[in-house]
Amino acid sequence: MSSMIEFSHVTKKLSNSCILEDINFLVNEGDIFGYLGPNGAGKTMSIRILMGLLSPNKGNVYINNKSADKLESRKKVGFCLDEDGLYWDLTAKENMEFFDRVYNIYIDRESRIKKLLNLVNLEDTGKKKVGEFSRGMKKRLALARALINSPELLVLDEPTTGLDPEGQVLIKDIIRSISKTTTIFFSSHNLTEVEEVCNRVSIINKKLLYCGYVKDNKESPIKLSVSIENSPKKIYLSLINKFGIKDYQIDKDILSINLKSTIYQDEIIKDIFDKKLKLIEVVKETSELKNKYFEIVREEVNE
Amino acid sequence: MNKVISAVIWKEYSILNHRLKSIVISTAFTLMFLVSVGCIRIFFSIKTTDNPKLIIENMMLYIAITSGYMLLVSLLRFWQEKSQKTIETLLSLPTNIQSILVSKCIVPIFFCLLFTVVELIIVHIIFILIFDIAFLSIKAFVCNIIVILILDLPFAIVNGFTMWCMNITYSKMMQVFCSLFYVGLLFMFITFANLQFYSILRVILICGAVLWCIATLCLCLMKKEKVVLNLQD
Repeated sequence: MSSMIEFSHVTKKLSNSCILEDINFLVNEGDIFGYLGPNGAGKTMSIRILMGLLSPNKGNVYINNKSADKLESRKKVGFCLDEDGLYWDLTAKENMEFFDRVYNIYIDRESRIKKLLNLVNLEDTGKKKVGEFSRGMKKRLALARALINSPELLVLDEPTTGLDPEGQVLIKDIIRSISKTTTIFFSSHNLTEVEEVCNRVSIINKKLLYCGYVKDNKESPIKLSVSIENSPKKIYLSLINKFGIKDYQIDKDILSINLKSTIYQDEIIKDIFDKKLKLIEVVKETSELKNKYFEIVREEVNE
Repeated sequence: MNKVISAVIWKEYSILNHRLKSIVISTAFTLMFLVSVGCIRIFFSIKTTDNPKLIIENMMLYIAITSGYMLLVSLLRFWQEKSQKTIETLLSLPTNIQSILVSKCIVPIFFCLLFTVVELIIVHIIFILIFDIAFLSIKAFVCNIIVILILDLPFAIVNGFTMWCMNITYSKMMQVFCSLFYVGLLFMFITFANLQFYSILRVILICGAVLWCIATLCLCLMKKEKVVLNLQD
């Protein structure tokens, strides 16, 4: 398996303070790689180096074995940075067209854009300017835009921040569906989300603290508490029957489900939305990654 | 042409196209003001000169250059890339920062050229109606085009550099400094209404040479890292 991203002894200093210290890890082709760390850990700085916006003081970053600061290394990279990077004065279609013009030829432009807008449920925005979009719509459009060049590598910096549960599920579904052909580098604060989506993870706090697989964690049992406004018991029971859930409890309006893995969790939430029910709360009690994260970060602080 | 450059030009064109109505209205008001100033100036100078055509021609050029300068400043959209937080995405595109900067200047300059030529035609008609001297000033058209081609691009480059790479204080100071070279030639129209064509051309070339030197230096100093780190200010 060849490496898609390589951080090789990367050190970045800004006015004598060390932002990144000897960061060293590989992201393999086909990985959904979670990049975790507390605020100020250097995640955004790493992504800026990866996108060629900053140069490391020491070491180098490689994309597909080419140095990340070389323009050709980024031709097959899709990205959705911390800010959406969308033009508010343009429509969704025009924003897509701008990036399509950067990467692609004229042929099939219309259908390419239409397909991606359909994918993120923004096909009906017409002449509405992006400035009038909600935050969730902007995030979805930014993701569609990132996919315009059929990327081999997709870099996502906190793609679900500020999204409602429906939007989060949609984005995670898209990430899963494209992961068959695309390597994904995924920075997030949300440990549960990273655990659900990623197969490998690294934790940084200025230096690399951990890098490994999360696959075992994905199979860990989780507790999902779903509370639905004005929901009769039979709706809960239909959900339970549909997904064959055996371990559950209904107390007043709250349905508590113990799932053996996270596989059905998004589908259950999707089903609630499909039934046009109002979801009040989803509480997930998890997880090994969360425990591991806090253990590692606390250990590092104590040192 | 590089795909990124042509895409940026298309994007700038689309954004300005959405704002076309407000641009036309504000330009019309600017034109009304400048034509009034021009008329007053001509009324005062025309009695003391034996060459009224020269004064009218210079006032036409004064109106076109001033209006073009104001239009260019309002059309350049470097700050918006920072305020709408699109700059990191723009700079992440696979091309160098110098190409992005220059391609962002092309559409505003083209709009300036187009608008000022139309304005000069309108001003011709107004002056013919008011002063009853009918002529077509090729000099005004030629000088205006030279000013736009020689001064607008370096001015826009310096403007972009200051907006993206400098903190707000130095950015404003640099812009004032460059504006002086741009509008410096306007002062001579106010001071000497009977300037000859070659004198005007000489001043344009001197101001242009200074601006081009500064713009070249700015392009050499421009780096993506500088822009990104300046975002944290």
